[in-house]
Amino acid sequence: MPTLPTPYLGTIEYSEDSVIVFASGLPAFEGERQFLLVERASAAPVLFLQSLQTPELVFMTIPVDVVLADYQLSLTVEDLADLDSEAGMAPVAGADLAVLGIVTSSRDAPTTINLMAPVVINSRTRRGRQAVQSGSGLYSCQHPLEQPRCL
Amino acid sequence: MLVIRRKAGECVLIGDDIEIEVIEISSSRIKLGIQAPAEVLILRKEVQQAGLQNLAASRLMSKKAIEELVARLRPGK
Repeated sequence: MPTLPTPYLGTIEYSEDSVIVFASGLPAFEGERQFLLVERASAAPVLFLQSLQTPELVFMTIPVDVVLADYQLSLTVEDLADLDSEAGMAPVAGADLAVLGIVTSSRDAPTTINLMAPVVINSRTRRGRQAVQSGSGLYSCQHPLEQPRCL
Repeated sequence: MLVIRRKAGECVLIGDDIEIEVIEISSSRIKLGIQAPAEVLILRKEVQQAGLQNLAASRLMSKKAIEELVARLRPGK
């Protein structure tokens, strides 16, 4: 099995078919096309989105429904194309899709989660896309994570 | 902020080489056509916002910071 040495998560052993392809990269990280979703029992519900290309790039994420049980995801034609380009079938929310909010933490500001632009992963096709939610203004990109009350 | 009223089919120009046309107006959204040089970046504002938030989230990562944050986010603590 290939391994990826990382500065923050240690050496990760992974299989080629667990690599998640982001055909468009992520906003501000357009060149990052391959990630691993790293799960650690000791970190649940946090999941780590680790770049395969840049070992020092890792995002901490939490499933959005852990924070907001009734989170409503809307996907554009572009989102669906990136998530499903090979299979040609629309992914089934819940069954196929993981919807993760990226956590931002800094010393001098409250910890927040980005609910405006969740990372969506189609577990069936192993494809991902950061699906920026437009229009509604319903979800903030800096939704406060009051812990542990909301978790 | 400069405010200009336009109807469907009408345009505004920005500088010498950017043209924005109002293609269609419906009750809740408008369709814009934008002609600009290839080197001009055109983004929906929320995509730019997502990019800035991603940059912020990618900083301040250290093994210690990750451990501390995970500890704080764990339920039942």
